[in-house]
Amino acid sequence: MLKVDKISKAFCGREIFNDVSFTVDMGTRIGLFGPSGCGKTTILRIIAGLEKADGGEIIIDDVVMKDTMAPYERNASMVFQDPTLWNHMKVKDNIAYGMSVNDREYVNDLALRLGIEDILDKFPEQISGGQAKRVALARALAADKKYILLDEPLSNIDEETKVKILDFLKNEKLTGKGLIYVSHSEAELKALGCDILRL
Amino acid sequence: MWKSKKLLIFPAIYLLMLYLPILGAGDHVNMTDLSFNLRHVGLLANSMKLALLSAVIATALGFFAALYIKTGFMADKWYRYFFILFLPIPFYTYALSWIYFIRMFSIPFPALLKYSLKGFGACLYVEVLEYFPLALLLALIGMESISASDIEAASVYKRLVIVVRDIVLKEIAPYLYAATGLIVILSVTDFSVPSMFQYNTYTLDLFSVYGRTGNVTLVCLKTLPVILLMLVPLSWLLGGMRKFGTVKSGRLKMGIHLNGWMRVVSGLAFAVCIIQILIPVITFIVTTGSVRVFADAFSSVKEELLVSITVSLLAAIFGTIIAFFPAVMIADSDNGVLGTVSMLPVAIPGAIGAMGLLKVVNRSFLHVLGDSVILSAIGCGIKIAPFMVLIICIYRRYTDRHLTEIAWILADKRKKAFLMECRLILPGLMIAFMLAFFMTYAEEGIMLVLMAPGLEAITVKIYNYLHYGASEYVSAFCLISVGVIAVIELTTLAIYRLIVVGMRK
Repeated sequence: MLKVDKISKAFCGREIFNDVSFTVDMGTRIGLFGPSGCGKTTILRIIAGLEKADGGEIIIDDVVMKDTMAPYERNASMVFQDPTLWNHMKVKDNIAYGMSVNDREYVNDLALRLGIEDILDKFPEQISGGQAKRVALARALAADKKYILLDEPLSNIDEETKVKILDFLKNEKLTGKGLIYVSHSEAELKALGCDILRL
Repeated sequence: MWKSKKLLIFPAIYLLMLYLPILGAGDHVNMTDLSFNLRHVGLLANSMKLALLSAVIATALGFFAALYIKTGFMADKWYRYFFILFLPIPFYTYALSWIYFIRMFSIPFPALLKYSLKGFGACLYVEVLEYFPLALLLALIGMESISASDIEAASVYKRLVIVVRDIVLKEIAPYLYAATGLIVILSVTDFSVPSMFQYNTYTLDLFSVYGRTGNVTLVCLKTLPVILLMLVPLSWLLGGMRKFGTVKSGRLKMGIHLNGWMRVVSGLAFAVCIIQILIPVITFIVTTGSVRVFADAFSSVKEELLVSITVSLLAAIFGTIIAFFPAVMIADSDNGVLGTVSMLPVAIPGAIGAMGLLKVVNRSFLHVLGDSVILSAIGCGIKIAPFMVLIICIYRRYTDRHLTEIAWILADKRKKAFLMECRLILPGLMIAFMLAFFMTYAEEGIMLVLMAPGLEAITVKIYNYLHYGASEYVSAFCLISVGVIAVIELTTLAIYRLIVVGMRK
């Protein structure tokens, strides 16, 4: 279980959020919903260990995450708003980066389900923005991590790709994984069957 | 790299290496020797006048030349960086080429001889040409971070001059600040050009103080006014670096067409690009005179070349090892203190730091290092490390932060994420490595002080021959140096394309 316990954050003296708490169990989906600037992305960054909270705790599988713990020790993978793929690595190597054992079969299967099987041997500079988003999603799912943090994965892409990714996420079983999904769109969160938390 | 307190050991080692030669010399200092009078004020003013003017002219030329390149047919060609070829050429090479150039033209035009080859003007000319490639490099990198569509959008509403002023100039201002700051620092701390053209500066005076007293601690203390003055260009440099953007996607060619006075000025600046390469090459070819002299010079300089290349390689490796972690930490932190402390020793002339290092080493079991080229390499590495910190730091800031963050999130081991970080700043590491290599290759003072008995660097050989008056051999040595540097630069470029670009194909 991932537990966010009364975390708060302020930037330059301005409070962004205060006393935010929620829990994510295996196989469940939480949707963080709210206007721009309400701190949705910051919450994900705090869970991932990229930023410190001013107060409160993050507890993953009964272990309190200390500020000194590096992000790779936190058992969470993430998709940023931009795909942020490594240009020097092929698509298939990008996807397999977070796997402790490079399971090519699993990568191929994931790519097939996301419709990116044809671009596995290409470099990120050679693929479209929509394909890059799906590669970033595949990379987060393939990683040996229990919790997946998705920061507006459907922003800035065409409708067709949006539908493909939404269908994929709706049908994905997420066995043994928990998902936190950040979005501006309540409809998107409802379509995915998320428990919605308004900020 | 993830924030771990254990990693603080690396900047501590870096600072120790940087400050030990200065603080560890342990010479006794009389307070009366530390007097600072009107003469010193005048010398400092001379230093600053030369440094500021060189910096402003070189940066302006760099900006306009970069504008010419980025709006023309070379904008997206790999050879757009060809004009920084002479960046690693030693100061005195330009100085000598200037002297020989005037001497050559004084044969058909004897009237030229009345123009003395000394003083402020000659120093300014040489320094502007010396630092111009550096300003060009930073301006080019800056212009590549501007989105072509930003410029095109602005040019729909405003005329060219306003677009260049409001978009191009404002976007690359941090790079221009950094270039100006760096050139001021390099100029103020250099003594070779002022000594060659007999122009009195504060740094030159420090050498005479050392010559009189042999007191390293005294000379280091006397650099304090320079260090205080350096805080201003350092703040430009570090402030500029903090605002460097990441590469934006888009076309490499700017979506504007130069016209009117801007085309003329940019064209002239671009002509300087050509001149700064052609003048030294032509004058050295002419002054060398014959193939026989060149062949003689080459066969007599093989061993020195080998020594210079070996020391340069070792210094670059040593510099990379001590500069890497502090550079990454400075880049990741918004606190300017570590950056400032890491850069301040650049104000101390290299040869003085080398004297301090020699004293420290000779008092310990490490004195055996003096029997090989290792001590010279360490001395040069210490001098050049702050510049390497700077380059790595710039590249780190230039790299999209999210790319390293996602590696730290997804990796299963610290080593894996760390290797990804190294890979992401590999081009910056390679540039810093090559800068260290070339700066060491061009170093004269430290080589003179720390070189093992029986060995000599090429720069020292040129210096010696210069004093014998053998100008044809000096020219041939300079020409050989330029050739060696060009070959190494092209080889590095080929390796870079093979490793960094080739991997994508």
